[in-house]
Amino acid sequence: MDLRTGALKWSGNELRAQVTKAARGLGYDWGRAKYLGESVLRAERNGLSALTSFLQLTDTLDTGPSRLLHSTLLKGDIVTVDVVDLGIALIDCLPGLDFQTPVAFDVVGFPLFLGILCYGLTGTDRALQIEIDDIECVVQAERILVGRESPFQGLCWLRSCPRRFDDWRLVSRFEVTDTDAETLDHLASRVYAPATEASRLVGAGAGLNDND
Amino acid sequence: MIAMREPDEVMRLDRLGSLHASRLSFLRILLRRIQEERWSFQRTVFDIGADCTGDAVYTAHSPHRSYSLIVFAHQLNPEHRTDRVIANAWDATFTLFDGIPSAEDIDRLRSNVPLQEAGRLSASELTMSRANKSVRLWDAVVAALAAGTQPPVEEIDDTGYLMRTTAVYGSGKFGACDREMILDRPELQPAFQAEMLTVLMIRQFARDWLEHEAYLKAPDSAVRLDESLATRLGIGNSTGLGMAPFLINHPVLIDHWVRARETAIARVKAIIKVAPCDRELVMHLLRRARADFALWQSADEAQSATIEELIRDVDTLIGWIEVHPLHATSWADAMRFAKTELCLEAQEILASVMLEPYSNLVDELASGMAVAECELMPVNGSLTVGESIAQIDDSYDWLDDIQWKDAHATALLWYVSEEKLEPRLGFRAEDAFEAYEQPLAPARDITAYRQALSEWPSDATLAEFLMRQPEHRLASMRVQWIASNRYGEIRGNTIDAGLRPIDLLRCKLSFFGATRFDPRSDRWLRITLYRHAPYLDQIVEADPFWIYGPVH
Repeated sequence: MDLRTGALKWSGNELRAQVTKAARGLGYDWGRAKYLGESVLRAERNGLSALTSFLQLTDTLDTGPSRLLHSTLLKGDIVTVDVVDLGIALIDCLPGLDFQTPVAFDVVGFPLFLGILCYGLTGTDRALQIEIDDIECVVQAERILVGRESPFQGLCWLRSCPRRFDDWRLVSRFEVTDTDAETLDHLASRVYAPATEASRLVGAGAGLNDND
Repeated sequence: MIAMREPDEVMRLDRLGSLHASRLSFLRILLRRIQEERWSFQRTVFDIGADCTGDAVYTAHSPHRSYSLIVFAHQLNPEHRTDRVIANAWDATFTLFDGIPSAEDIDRLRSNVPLQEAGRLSASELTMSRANKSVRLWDAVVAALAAGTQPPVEEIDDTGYLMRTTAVYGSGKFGACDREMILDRPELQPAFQAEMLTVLMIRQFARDWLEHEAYLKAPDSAVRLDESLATRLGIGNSTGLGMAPFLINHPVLIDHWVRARETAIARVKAIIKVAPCDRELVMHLLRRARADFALWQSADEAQSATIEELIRDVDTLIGWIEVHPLHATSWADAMRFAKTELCLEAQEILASVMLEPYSNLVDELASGMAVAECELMPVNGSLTVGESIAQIDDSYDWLDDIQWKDAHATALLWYVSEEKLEPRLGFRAEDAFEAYEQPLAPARDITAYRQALSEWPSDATLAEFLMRQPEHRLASMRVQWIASNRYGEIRGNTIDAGLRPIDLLRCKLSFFGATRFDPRSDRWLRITLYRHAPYLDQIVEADPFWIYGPVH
């Protein structure tokens, strides 16, 4: 609880850490789990509900190797693939893609997709313009500018665009509903080893009462 | 400019486990700022009742902002007293509040801070901490003061602290303010400054609380703790495995810490003509350090032997400097001598002490000891497999020394227990926890990554490789980070049967500014922070070299 407002509020570090652990709990390797933690945080900092879209997708995400082909990805063929797979594969290729010619993708799970792209642009001065139906977004390192709420699913066109220098206000506290918090906790708990007496006694290398 | 020491020399576990505090340690950075900016401190609340429980507030006023330590003092049932993370009760609990708290703020925090991990903080809180009284020292000192006497200095030195923190949480933990939100404040920009300020004010509270208890016991006879004795008391800390993953999980940050120190060392080694006053200062501080090392006690046999060797080698070093001609000897010569003739601990105390006269060469490096998010980039998938293998071979040639077929090379595994999320270290062959293994074995994982890459065409892109073998993404990202942050990787196997996690802990603690490292096993140790430091009302005028102990 945020004890001033009465709403359940998390810090950014808590959100990032818990999504990372939840992603690992879903079966992702630690690398992609880390990407998801970073991506959800970036989207949420920009006021987008990427945590919700991540949790909505959890039943359908494929945690195995990508079903994309590298050549398919570069051509931007319309393929049906989950947003984590598409987003991470796309940002792996970002240094080699100039997007001077618009490329189209069919995306399910939009706010999260924008967060993944935002993370992919970390440390660069590039910006991407993304059209989803008739909604226009600009994504660059740390910043996502969305005209209005994007649909969860839709055909999007990516092209490069100039960086924007608007004075964005980033969100620093994150409202997480009880239900979402419980779901995250449940998934994250899969990475913790069960509490056993043997672990308690020797795992930390200290006695139970090491006072002085 | 003389070349910096290579990562292969610096980042070995045995050397990291021999580091000492320096001008670039975080608590020294904080105290220098307090002195330069002439901060003031106020105890605005000290509402401790007859049962020695209650609240206190200490406020630090910097030129532009104030920060307040809010204290909740408790009575702890002896059977609940433990330094482990799994504890649920403590003698005192603390939070560092951003500004000056209102009565409502204190009420809100009273419902949460004593619960520690089970409580919730808000964006107004920067840290949360807890501490226990030293069983060895507290009651004895209270009894002495209540009787109107001072405790023996030997008792003070044997323990070295009145209270011992068992965790100091910061940066967003349990709902507290994220570090990213306060990075525009110069006083909090260097690493761990909020945590160091918290501990500094806890030290003041510990003294005040102790003297108050003595007064309550015997109002007519009690005396205050003598200033010279009080100064010999720092704040203890029990540090366990939780700190080790931090070093492995933050390679870019660790690179920046070590790089700053190594840059400082290289700058000082490059001085061709050492001024007599600078040489005298180093000699003076080595003697002070030596005297303090003589009081450094450890129950650990290996550490005790190391301390003896260190004292002997510091004597040798002082003798070597004394007999060498004043203008024909540089710090580079001294470091060369130390490297060939002295133990690692002595080499590293020389490296720390020789920085002391050169604030102009060293202190500005502190601003580079933090990491911006833009430095933590995702994988560049446009590299080819061949280029990625070359990166590994360039930074990780030391992996060839590890015999992975030997069972001892993978004997350990790191995991987090569901019990208060305590980080623990298990035995792969004995504990059924492999499914819960944390990614804290970069040596093994990068060896596997290189092996997998070698089975691909060298002109394939890393993006293609990771599409098919995503399990190597974390190792891939790490290799790319280390290529430009070469001091970020610990050059050792963190799951080897022979691992001493305390070497990792000591590295981080030396950057905090800890002294009196006292291993209690190979997995946890006690240390002291701020021993010999001035108290809050004396900082501005204090000896800048306080950490080396009193002037004899």
